[in-house]
Amino acid sequence: MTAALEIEGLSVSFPTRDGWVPVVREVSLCVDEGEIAGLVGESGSGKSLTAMSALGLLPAGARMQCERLRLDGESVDGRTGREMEALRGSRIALVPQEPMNSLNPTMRIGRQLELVVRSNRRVSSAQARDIAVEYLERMLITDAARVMTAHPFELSGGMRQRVLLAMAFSCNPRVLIADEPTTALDVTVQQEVLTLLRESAAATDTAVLFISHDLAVVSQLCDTVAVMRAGEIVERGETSDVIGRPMHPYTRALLASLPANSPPGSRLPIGEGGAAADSGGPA
Amino acid sequence: MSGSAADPALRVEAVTVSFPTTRDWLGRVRESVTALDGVSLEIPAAASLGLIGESGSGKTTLARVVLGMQSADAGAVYFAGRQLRFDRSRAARRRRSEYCQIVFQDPRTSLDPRLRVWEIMAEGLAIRGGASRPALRRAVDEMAAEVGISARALDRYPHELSGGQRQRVAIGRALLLRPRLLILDEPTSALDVTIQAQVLNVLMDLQARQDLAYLFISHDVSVIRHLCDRVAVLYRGRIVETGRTRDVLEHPQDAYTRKLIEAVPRIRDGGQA
Repeated sequence: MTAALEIEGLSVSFPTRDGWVPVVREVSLCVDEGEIAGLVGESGSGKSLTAMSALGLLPAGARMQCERLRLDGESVDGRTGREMEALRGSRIALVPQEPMNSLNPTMRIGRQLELVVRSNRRVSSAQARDIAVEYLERMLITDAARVMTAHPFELSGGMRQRVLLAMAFSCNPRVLIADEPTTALDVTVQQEVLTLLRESAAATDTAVLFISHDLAVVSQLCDTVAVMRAGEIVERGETSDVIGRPMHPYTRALLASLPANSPPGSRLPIGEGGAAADSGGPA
Repeated sequence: MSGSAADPALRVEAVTVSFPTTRDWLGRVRESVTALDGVSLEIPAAASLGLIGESGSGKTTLARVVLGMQSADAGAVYFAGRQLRFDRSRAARRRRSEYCQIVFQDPRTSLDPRLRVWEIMAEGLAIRGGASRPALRRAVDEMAAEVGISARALDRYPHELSGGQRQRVAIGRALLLRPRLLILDEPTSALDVTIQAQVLNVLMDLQARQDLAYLFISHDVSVIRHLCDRVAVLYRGRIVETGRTRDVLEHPQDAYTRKLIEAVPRIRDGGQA
């Protein structure tokens, strides 16, 4: 197995009146081809910023330092915005949390998919549309023709997320970053979307970095998991080890605070993790 | 308040609500969508009922009907045996506010950003009238201790607080009016799990200390299991199943309930995997 995504010694800081404040500190991650790696943590732990660093999409003003950042074996550290732009889509793609905010509300789905396909492949408009339909159908969209002519607001949340999955996979990326892709969905729809994600990634040997705050989802989906807290990875390993036999007190506190892990009606344990995390609200 | 102790805190009887989607040129309704279709449920005094359902199932419409913010086409709502009439008169609104309060999902949008925390909490009492400013402040101080808000936080603005603190403010504001029924509309969905645990503990403590019934709306089955004695499952405007939480979650009878519960992701650890 080769590593599709390698991050070593990543730090991200933001400027404030009191100088540079680090929000991601010395984070190292490695995701192999065909592996689904979970990155869990509470709001403000730095999990999304870690992922955005790999995409070259940090907010303006952020300062990033990295010993090594490799995509598909190739170093991308120090690339300019334009050079990263060429890699996004074809090498590394993103499925974001809220599909309504990432689709263009004024453009039909078909046109949006066509643009994405043609930005990565030298094909005609008609060919691009055929490819788009093919990928929509892979995401179990049975009425792809209708979806192609629809505007985003006409689709349900689950349908929009399938469109984004189709969009991401249509570029044949080696690495897919999924940032809380099902948080906004109902549980029955979440299950369908996660199954699609797992099967599509397995079929194409894509490496997936799955960002989530939901330990139950991560325990079901991911091969490995890293737990982030206050900008650092505190624990990592095979999912069954980390969830089944957590070593770090913070991981234990996270698991213990889940109502499913306590008898009904009992007081829920409040670990040290909670006290520290209560300094900031959810993003 | 009339009604005996045996009366349920809330009884909803065959409530139907529909919203017009198309009107003809005279403004007559030609097509409408039924949001609630003959919904009945009951919460005994000081008990908790969980209401589960996916988006669009009608959970929020039901909460609005109970609050009197939405009139029903048919059916009735009783608080402790007394019928709530759907009128907007000051007296009717006041009676409802004395009986029933609500905590919303996202405390960032449900708290007035221009008021200090203690003013937000006192606002309901101030509107009710009859209390001096120092008396209001004393009442807020007491409630703050009860829901776990530090005295320092009371003089701050909502944006200076964390998500968990803000939700405590929302709970404290509602409880200052001493309602007997609290509607909780996804109160912990926007919170991290460790903060959710703190807020759920506060809710359980409050209920243990006073005569307070909860209508707990959530899509999170594990939260409902933890807090509620009984549960009702809402699907496309109808209650498809209701009963003791354990019975419904462990032996669901309805096909939709079964599908919903099976879809809930559970922690899979090394031992079971």
